[in-house]
Amino acid sequence: MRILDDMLFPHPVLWSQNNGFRFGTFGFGEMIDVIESVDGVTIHLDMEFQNSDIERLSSEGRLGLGVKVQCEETYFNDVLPCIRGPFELRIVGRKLAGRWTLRAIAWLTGPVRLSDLKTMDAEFETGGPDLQPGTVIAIGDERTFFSGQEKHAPLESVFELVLDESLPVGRYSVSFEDDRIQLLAGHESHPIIAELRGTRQGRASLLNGVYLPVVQRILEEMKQPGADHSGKRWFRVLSAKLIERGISISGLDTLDAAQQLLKEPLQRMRAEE
Amino acid sequence: MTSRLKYVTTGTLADLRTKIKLNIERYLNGDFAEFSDLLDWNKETRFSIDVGLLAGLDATSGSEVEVSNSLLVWRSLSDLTPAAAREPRIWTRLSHVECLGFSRARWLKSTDEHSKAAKLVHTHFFGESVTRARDDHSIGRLWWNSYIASRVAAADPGVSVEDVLKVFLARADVRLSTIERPGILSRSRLALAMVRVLRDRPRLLGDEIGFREFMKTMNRQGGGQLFEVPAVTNEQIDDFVAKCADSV
Repeated sequence: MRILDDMLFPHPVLWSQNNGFRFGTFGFGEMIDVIESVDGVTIHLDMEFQNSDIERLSSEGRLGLGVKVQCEETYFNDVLPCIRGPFELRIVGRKLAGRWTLRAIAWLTGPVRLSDLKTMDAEFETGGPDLQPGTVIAIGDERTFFSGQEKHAPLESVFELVLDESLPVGRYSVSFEDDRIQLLAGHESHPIIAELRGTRQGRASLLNGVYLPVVQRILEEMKQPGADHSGKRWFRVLSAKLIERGISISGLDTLDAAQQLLKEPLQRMRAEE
Repeated sequence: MTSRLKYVTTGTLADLRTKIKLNIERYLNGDFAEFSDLLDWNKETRFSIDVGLLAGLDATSGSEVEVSNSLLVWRSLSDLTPAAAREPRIWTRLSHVECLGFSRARWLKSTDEHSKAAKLVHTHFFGESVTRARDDHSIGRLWWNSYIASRVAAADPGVSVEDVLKVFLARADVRLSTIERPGILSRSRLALAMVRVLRDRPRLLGDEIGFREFMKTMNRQGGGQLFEVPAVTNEQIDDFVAKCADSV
């Protein structure tokens, strides 16, 4: 099942994205610990919910709880059973690679009369058919992770300074076409940048004066719906770093995200004084 | 006879990619034998390969050949993982050395015009992204066909990888709507139900418009249904898919 945030259900679902129930919460606690090893991935989670209907279904044994793990790159897409409270999930083998997601999910394991759900929204009170086993009754918000070496790569490893004689004096530009981002500089700019890279103060100035707008420009490019750079190393490294910081590409504020990726470059000016 | 699966270095991959036009004669009529013994072309993975099996690859096109070629590559690279199969350096080595002859005969035979050939090389010889490795690379796409089919077949001992391949490789548009859509084929129980139902309804597999309608109906009717949980039986999923198929 593909779960989209604007999805509508013909029955009440406890979910932060809709109003199926008047109150209550469902999902994983804030802390999710992911440990990667050669044998696979171990995930420490805490399944929490607060809603009297869901509590009752659970105590009556009519509620199934699971973790939906999905990785588009490896086609791994399973609902793995889990329990309420803290628990450990192990996914053995290299089944997760690149971007992958987790979502808490609850379903009915037996039939339930709609009228038995006392906390559902008024829109369902006009009635409807009984809910059948397998019906989704609660959904947690999606959490995104990244598996792979890319997230450990230094950010500077995706840049390459390239001389471009065609650029006007004092200008620089970027090219996204190769595995590394090419920072193109004209014959006057190139030695300036190269020289600044040689000192700590110079590097701090470069981060603020050149790399900050360049990273903003890259992030704008990554946001473009039609731009496919997924095969390029720079794209994978930056995607991994954004995911690690919990930043979604689609809705990101490029100025804020660029400062995070460059680890607050303005602060570095002071540190280098 | 198995040996270690090899890959080229990142530098070699970048070099080959920028020199496609320069090397076009090698792609069309020659080979890369003078480089293939260099260290940068011979990095070893922990995975195995049976190169002998790859000699059986058939360069003609068509659904049956795609199925048999996919099974051959699957047997040859039997312990490769999906995480490693995203790696263009592995696929680039295979299409430039062990499988150069097959890759050329399969994908470059339609042209001897250099500019067209260069585009085809770029598409079918590198596997630069996950989707390119899965859908375009001469060998990668065959491995991914079987890997995806194996995930589907694993849930039912009565269904083989070949059974799954015969359904989802029936026509190019069927592959496009299934194997190239992780959102659908990664859902093993739903995909398995599609195999069981479509095997008995060959008319749908032979009808492009009908198949498209079938997929649309499944999307429409299946929204919000969680087929993955134990509370839903295989019979219920088969019934859902059959109703979608029979409504077209």
